[in-house]
Amino acid sequence: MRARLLWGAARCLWARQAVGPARRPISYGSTPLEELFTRGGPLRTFLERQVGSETHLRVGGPELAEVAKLLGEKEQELQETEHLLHEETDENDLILEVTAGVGGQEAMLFTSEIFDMYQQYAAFKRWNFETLEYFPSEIGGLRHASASIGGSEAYKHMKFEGGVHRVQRVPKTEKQGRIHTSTMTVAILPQPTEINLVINPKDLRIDTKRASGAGGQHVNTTDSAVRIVHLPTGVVSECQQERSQLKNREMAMKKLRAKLYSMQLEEETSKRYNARKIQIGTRGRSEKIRTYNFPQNRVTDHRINKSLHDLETFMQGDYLLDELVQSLKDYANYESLVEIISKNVYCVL
Amino acid sequence: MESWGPMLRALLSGPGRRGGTRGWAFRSGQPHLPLAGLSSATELVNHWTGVFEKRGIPEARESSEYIVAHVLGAKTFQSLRPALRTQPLSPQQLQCIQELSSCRLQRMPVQYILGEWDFKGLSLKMAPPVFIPRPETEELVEWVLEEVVQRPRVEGAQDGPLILEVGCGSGAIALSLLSQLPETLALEMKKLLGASLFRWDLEQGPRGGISWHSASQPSFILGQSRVIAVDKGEAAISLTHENAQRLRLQDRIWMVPLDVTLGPKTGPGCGWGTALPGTWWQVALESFTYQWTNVCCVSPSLSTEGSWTHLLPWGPVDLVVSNPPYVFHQDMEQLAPEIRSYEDVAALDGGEEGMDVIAHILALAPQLLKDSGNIFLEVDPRQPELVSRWLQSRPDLDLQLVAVRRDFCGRPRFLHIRRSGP
Repeated sequence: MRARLLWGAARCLWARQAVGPARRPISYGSTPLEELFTRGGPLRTFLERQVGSETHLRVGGPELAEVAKLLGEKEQELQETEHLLHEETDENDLILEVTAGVGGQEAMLFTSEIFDMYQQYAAFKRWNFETLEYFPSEIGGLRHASASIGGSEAYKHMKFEGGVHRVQRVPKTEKQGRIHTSTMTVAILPQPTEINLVINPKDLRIDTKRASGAGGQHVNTTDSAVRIVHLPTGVVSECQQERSQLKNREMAMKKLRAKLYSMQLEEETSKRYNARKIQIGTRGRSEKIRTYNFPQNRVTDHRINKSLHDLETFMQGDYLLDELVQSLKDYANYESLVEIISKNVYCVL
Repeated sequence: MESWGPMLRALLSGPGRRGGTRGWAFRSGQPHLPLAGLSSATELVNHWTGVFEKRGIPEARESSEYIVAHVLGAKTFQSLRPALRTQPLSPQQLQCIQELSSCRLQRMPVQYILGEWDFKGLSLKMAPPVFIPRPETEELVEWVLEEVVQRPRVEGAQDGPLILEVGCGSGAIALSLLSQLPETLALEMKKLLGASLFRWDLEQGPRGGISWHSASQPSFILGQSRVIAVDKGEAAISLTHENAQRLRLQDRIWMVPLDVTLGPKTGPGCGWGTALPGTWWQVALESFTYQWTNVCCVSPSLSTEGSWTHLLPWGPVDLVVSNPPYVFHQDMEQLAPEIRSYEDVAALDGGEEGMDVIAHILALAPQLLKDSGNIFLEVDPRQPELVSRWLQSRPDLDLQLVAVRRDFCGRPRFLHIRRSGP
């Protein structure tokens, strides 16, 4: 019994530490904390021995029991908070959309690099990455693209990437060596499950190049592009990535569902997220969240004022990007907690 | 001057299918040879789009995009990596684009030019004159898959469905069904048995079974889904065979060259009830030998004389699926040159009301289908009505039109017909 309480207390302390604003969670590379406390684990064994020893009971028994009880209660509270922090969509797959912003060809080149960065990040996290559409510019840049990303906690990690990304550097196209500032926009839309979102097939209009004429064996068309319109909202989704029309339709449908779902979520949560620095969904799309400064070899996230150096490594989309994502996750949790606490305080007053 | 044309053509055209087109391109005097200034993929697409438009070739942009993307190793121009779009092409690539585009100027369908096309998730080899699968048919396959998954399973019967496809063409329907079905079954079996108890047995070969091992039963073969693919065209049979091998599905498909419109006249009572006794896998084993002789030693006489009675040794099938020729004969003249001059007429022309082959399939079905077996057909939008009337005139067949489904363009396109139980 006491052992259980102590174990709870230790976990409680650990969990509290992880929530701080700028602090990073304890040691990621070493043995996970949970493991130390499992039955037969080294720390648990130690604590059990401590509690079990006669001397301890005689000296500080009642106090120890009192403290342990208090910590047990705190643990309970924290578990509830953890539940509050968890979002319905955290486990979902997602649609990534990138769009070039201000800065012409340079913005398009940067958009292409960012899209590649996320593709590599997906590989780093062992997620599945499938390009849904890709509209390049003449000189190898990218106007707009979208991709479907799926895997363990994909949305939980990627949701903080939405917003305006700014680049400062001397563009390849610049002849006089001046530094330009360009932008691109990232949108992250959670992919709904079948239960999350139900679409009535009657609300959809599916356009293909086969719509006129007899169809079937009478015609042989190769244009397999598909365009789906959701009539009640006017939301449009297109795909011409594949030679199979059915495949294009499935991909367009995936994108449409994600768009409709994020609209639905937007409505539900807009009030809740109003005051936060870290915005997700469309509300955060117009906000400048990050600057990639090439002359200074630095990337800065403006929401948490965190800078990382070695831009080239960062753009490879592996551990450096992951580190920043982790910091954002921690800060978002911290913000949610503060919000919950202040609400509770207000209620008490 | 006129007489130079044929001579030049003869000189320029080597042996092979594309020789003639090259000669044609030269004779036409158009600047189709690789131009010095044109080197990137984007520029080439624009150039050939212009040429195709001028010559009145349908889908000018799509055609040139598919050809250029194909030569650069991508399926669509949209999926081509941006770096590849602006990079200069090699002389070999330019030459290849040149040749393929010349074929398009001859109105050859893009699918034949590329030698491959996609159907559902599969890439299939395409070769003239075998019928090119249309996108509508992908929906027919979806419907069949829905039906097979929902099919109530008889207690203790672990066999996957045995499916008969009439007029397999490139094998699109049969192979996409097979590529989807094992997973479905596997999931069901997993639910039933627990994942640890079963594994795929790759060594089952032509019998194509899943074997399942448990402590109490040493070895037990579970039936997988299998398809018997029938076509009267030799080119179709060998293309289906090739596609099956490319997709490693050859162990679960049997190809039989035969014409369902031929064969002995049959009276009632000549069907399955009197056929070979024995379990399906015994029959299947015998059939395998049979199939092998048919496919490997295919002879013209066999392929034209093969009648439907050759199908009896396989046993009654659970399901018949077909995209039979259904174009009304009088519509044949109006088909685009791509279809009329390149695709097998026999795969398109369904006779006066497009019903010729459909009627044969329906008349044969009761002798090949199990009780409560299903038939799925793709038809012309005018045919659901015709088929319904035809079935009413043949109550002896015990067939009922259960449902009509529309294609993605809203045309009544697919029929579900069921054989009444005993």
